[in-house]
Amino acid sequence: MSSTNFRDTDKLASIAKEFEKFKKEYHGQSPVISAIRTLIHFIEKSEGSTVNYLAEELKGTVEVLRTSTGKCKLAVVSASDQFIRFATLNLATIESEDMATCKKRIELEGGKYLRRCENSINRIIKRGVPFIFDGAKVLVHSDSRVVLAVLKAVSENIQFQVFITTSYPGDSQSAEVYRDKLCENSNIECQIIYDSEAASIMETIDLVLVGAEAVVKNGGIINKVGTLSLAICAKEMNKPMYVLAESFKFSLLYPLNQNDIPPEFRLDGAGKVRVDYTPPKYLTLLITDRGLLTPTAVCDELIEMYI
Amino acid sequence: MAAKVEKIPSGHSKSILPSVATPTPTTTTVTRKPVGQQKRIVSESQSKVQTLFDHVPQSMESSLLFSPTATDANKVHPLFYTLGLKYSHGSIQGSNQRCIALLRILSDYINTFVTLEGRAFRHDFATQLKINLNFLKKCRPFAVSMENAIEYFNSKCHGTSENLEQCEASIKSEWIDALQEYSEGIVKAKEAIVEKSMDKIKNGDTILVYGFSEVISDILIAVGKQGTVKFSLVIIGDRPLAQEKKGKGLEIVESIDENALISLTYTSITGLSNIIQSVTKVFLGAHALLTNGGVLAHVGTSQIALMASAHNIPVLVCCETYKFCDKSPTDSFFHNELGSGFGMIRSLKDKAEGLDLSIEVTEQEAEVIGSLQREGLLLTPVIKYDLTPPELVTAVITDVDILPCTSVPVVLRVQENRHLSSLRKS
Repeated sequence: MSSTNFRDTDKLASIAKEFEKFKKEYHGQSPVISAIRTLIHFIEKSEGSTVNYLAEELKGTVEVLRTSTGKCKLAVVSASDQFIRFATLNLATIESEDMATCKKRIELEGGKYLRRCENSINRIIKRGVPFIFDGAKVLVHSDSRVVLAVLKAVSENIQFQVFITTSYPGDSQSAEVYRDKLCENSNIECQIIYDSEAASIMETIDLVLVGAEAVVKNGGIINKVGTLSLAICAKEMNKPMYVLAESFKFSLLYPLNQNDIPPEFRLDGAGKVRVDYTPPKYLTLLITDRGLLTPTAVCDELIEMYI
Repeated sequence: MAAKVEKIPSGHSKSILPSVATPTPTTTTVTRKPVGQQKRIVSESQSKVQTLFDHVPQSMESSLLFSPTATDANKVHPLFYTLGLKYSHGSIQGSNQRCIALLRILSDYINTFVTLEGRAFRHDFATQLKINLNFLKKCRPFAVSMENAIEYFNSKCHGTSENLEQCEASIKSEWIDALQEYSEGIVKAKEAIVEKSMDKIKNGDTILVYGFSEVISDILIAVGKQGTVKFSLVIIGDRPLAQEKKGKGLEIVESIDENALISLTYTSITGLSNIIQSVTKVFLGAHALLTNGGVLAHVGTSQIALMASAHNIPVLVCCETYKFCDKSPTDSFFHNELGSGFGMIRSLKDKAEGLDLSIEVTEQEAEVIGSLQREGLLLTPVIKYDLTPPELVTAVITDVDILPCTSVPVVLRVQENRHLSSLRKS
């Protein structure tokens, strides 16, 4: 029996539980993908009789997912926005049909979107691997899943070095765990450096690779605090900075400066700054599943997605 | 041979030679301008010096345009005559206002238009309209918004199918409806921009605005009305002696809610470097946005954007999408307008009504300046617009969305696709 109020606590608790379940089950993938799965799961389970009810339920579910993630909050928000957009794209044309068909259509589109998201990391790997050449010295920041995947996918013949920043604040062990994962590959030589060292070794670095928590409308990125410093340093010393990001991270935010990042994303639980905004002028290229994009092309992609 | 120092006409060698007095050429030539621009009457001695601004249109002197013996006196419809007078005199300012006024007059004209005997309605209308629009251009060169509106109207005229059975009245009502929709669209676009800009102004911000822009002033009034946000306002006015009322920007002071303002500062553009340190955001209006992302706006805008950029202050430009222009600029002069006051420095004694670009000069200085001008050696250009490169602009707030400057061509492309698909359907 469906509860009349879709925001009641039971329902919310079940959403959160489902999300955790998916995260555990697909723990190799980004939590964002598990969030999409949760959304699809709840559409299937929904017993609403009108499209509007379904849309409201979706929005409510997104709200819950927003609050129950840490690092991926921004990506969850942007992915959910895109999902709702794709899933309900053609709904206006079939409003006359019954609810069951609508639901099926949403599930179909939603499924397509999910598969695109799952596949996105493979596309990025394919596009990103050629950037690593033999003898390269790569600087990475904040344990990014995508960067890890790309670096590990580089062919065994290519020997290169990776410098990992401690990316303080955060889990103090995360840099070491990251290093161990990378060092599993015999062709990679890893080294952990302090964040403050980054500027001094920049002269020897060949390229900087970072992930992103969100890619904003003008092609800038929001990422772990410290990314901006790396970016300015790299720009000053003419080292390329590449961002590896899936397209579900393309967000509708447009911060004008650091203060303009909504505080719910910018600060962590203790009120300290967690992320910073890197303007597009410091980024060389964005390597995404939608192609190799210059920062200015991000807006074009977003317009195409949302029109 | 008397070694007389004579006044050497311009264009000749500047060395003072003892020579026989040669008559200074004083023929007045009418320089033919390419089609689309109006003729400007210049004296030959001046024409050599003005090459930098030769291609920049300027409104004709109103005394020449509106005299009873002017060539257009009989051909131009009174509606357009009145509108032209308003443009020329400057009582309608701002690209939105000018565009809306034009559309209204156009609607009235369509209503009152009576086809002459023996002529086809469309053809007759088109030719008559062209005459009227050319007259308006002489009064004041068209704004980009007006050009886009006319282009839209022309496409509507040609787009409606050549259905011979469709009577004149129904065509007229179709056109009037289209124009009505377009002007409503302009107003709605402005409201959309206001809505989108509201959350960019935060509590405690110091906002800098330049001159008077309809959109910007609406945004500030709306934020003030909302009541939740208190901000400081810095208004930059034009040069101290500039004569255009619009550049002063003081109108907004009257309409804004006092309770929303923490403080209000007014200075002219010469005081910008002093005040810029305390500013947190800059809001600028725009005349047009170009394909490469450049912003065509009131002269002085690029200076403000440059200064703000140098101090790391975000620059926001508010521009409706109907002002997006399909041109690619090479410099500020490619699409500009010379203001009145061009070529005129008047002494205190010699003030003309309403054209008071006076600087303090003594009688002697006025004499020297006057003679230099007569020989075409002194140029006082007053250009109206300048170009701000896209690197200096943080974001553009349009009625569609908040976009980076470089996305203008994408919006144009999407709009064109929509327009084409709607044409295909009709």
